[in-house]
Amino acid sequence: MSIGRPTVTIACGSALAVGLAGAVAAPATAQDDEVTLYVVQGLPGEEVDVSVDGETLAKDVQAAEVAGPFTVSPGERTWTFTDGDDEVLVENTVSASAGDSSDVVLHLPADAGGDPVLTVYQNDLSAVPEGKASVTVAHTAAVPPADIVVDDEVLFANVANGESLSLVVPADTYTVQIVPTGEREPVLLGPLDLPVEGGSLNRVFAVGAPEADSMNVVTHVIDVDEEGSEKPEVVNTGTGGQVAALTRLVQAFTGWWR
Amino acid sequence: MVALSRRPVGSRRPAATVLAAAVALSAACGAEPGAATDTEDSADESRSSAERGDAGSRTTAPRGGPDDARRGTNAPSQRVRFRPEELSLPGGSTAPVSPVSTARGELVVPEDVDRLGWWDGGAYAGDPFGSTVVAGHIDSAEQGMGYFGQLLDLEVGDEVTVRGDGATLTYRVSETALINKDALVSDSAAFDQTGEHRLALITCWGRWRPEVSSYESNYVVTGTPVGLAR
Repeated sequence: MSIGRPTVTIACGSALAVGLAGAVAAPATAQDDEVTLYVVQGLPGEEVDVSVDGETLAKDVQAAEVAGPFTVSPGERTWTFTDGDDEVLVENTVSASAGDSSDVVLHLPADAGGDPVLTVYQNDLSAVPEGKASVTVAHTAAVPPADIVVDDEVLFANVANGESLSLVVPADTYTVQIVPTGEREPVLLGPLDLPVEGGSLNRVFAVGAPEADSMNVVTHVIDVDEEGSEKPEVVNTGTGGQVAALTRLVQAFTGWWR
Repeated sequence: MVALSRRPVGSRRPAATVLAAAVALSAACGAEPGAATDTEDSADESRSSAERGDAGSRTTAPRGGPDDARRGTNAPSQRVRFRPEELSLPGGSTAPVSPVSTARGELVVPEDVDRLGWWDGGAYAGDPFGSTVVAGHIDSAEQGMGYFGQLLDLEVGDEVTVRGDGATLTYRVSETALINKDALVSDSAAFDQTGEHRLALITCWGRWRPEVSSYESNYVVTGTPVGLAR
């Protein structure tokens, strides 16, 4: 049995425009001398404010929302997440190098009773073959290690809180559900449909807690380059005819024909 | 001092449409726990929640400052995927493999008949879906017999191994087929990037047409992976 009916929230980076006056338009690709960061809000029921080194980055970020991209200069920064009452939920340092692209994820630990944690996942912006996409599934929910079942096959096996797994898959819509490692039930989340478009990195975060009926998925899509050439119409791999001649010779002596 | 700016994101994806579709499909789907197949991964790498809860650990910053944020890590079952750099046929003979592209509709296979080409639009070895395509000459007018002439000797059940980037994946031959050149892409799954992962080895064969110095057909050997790439 599925625990609760999951809600699916697909949040793109553009979905949120908060709190930053005088936003500067910049190219969508990361500059080599800066760091690109997204905030993934994986705490159910919380509305959070985010500040970096004391400067407000984003306000009123809703549960299951992705905020950003934000750019910061490289180095170690202190990130502070506060709730609606200005109580500090998490304060951590995040170190980043020039050219990095990362998701900074606020989420529950494996034990739902524990304090919220901040996990920084590197975004792999590698090019994908034409018509394909990268899919990364990250475990940031209050559940033990889990298997992620895609179209009835375990494609992401035994992922623990704070871990992720990546695959390159053809563009399509996949049916996804999350189950405890090595088990088929209880279904912790899903089944839900995940549409995947070519030329993209799809970062899927499982968040929430089954006990609180707050399991959810946050999907963060980033465009990546496509590489490789199209399907050929023809493959020509023989111009000598020696193998044909040899075969005729063998055939003449033995009556053999393949 | 932190330089902060918010950058607009190209929103070529219709997020609202995607959301609506996902919710609708999700609601329409009935849960079918236990209906699916087992996995070789989860069985042998299974870790109980007691053995490991959260991945990674948090370190304490000096002088009582805030802790470092946790770093997201790959789960141990992360699949290995690689571009084939070398291919071995039964008997142990090995040929180097390099990436090749399609130009003007034709796959540009290495001129050297002892070398093979991996189609750069296809799956990497170890991907979960799609065909990894490796093509090579059966022969050439200048160089004589080619390495992939040996494909004609392969039988169902034989094993072919590809290596690259320090990893290895073995495939077991599941099918051999002589396919007319005109039908290779349209009527065979050799270049298809959907469906179960497989290896497609392609050379030329069939009736020799001396007037155009070319064979009439392609010979395609298909293999399915034996386990995962390591």
